Amino acid sequence: MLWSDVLIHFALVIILTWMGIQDRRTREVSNVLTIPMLAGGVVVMIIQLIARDHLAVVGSILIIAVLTFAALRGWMGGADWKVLVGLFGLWPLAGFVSLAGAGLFGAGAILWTRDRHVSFPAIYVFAVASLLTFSAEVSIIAFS
Amino acid sequence: MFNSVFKAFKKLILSKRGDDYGEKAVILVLVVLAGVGAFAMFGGKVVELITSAASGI
Repeated sequence: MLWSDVLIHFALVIILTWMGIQDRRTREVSNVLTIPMLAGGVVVMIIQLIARDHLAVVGSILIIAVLTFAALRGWMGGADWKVLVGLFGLWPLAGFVSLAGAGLFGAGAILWTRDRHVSFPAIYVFAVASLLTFSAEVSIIAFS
Repeated sequence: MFNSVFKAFKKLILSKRGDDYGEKAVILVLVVLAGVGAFAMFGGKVVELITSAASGI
């Protein structure tokens, strides 16, 4: 992994934290932050599809197809969908960890509240998951 | 048909809602994990089939 990747991931963690704070306070996230993230992720995936690494991008696209189906059915907020699609394009590992983190948080919230339809600020969970992913990446680089 | 899909995507892209639902989040993760598991088991075979089909063309 290059240091430029680490810097990009650090910038993404900061942006996600900002969005996570907004989501936790208001349960909404500004389109000024989410739409550029969606656009950036889609552009990176298109470039990767044209240039190289077809297999990894196809995996991300299949997961995004499932997420899009779910979002169109109202299973998740539009901001959550945009951030996850952007993450799968820009930083697929953090996208996968965020999705898994949301599932774990959702399971915990169901057990805690005994309500299957409990809602939670997902982007706040994505921010924490991305921060953990970034910490793991930096520690692997530091100790390798 | 195309118009309704376009409208649904436009609504999704402009939506600011950041809520996720516990049950749906768990189902999504299980679906994605099942997909990743299936790809890990049969992905090699699928890639092999695609490669042989592409070389045939």
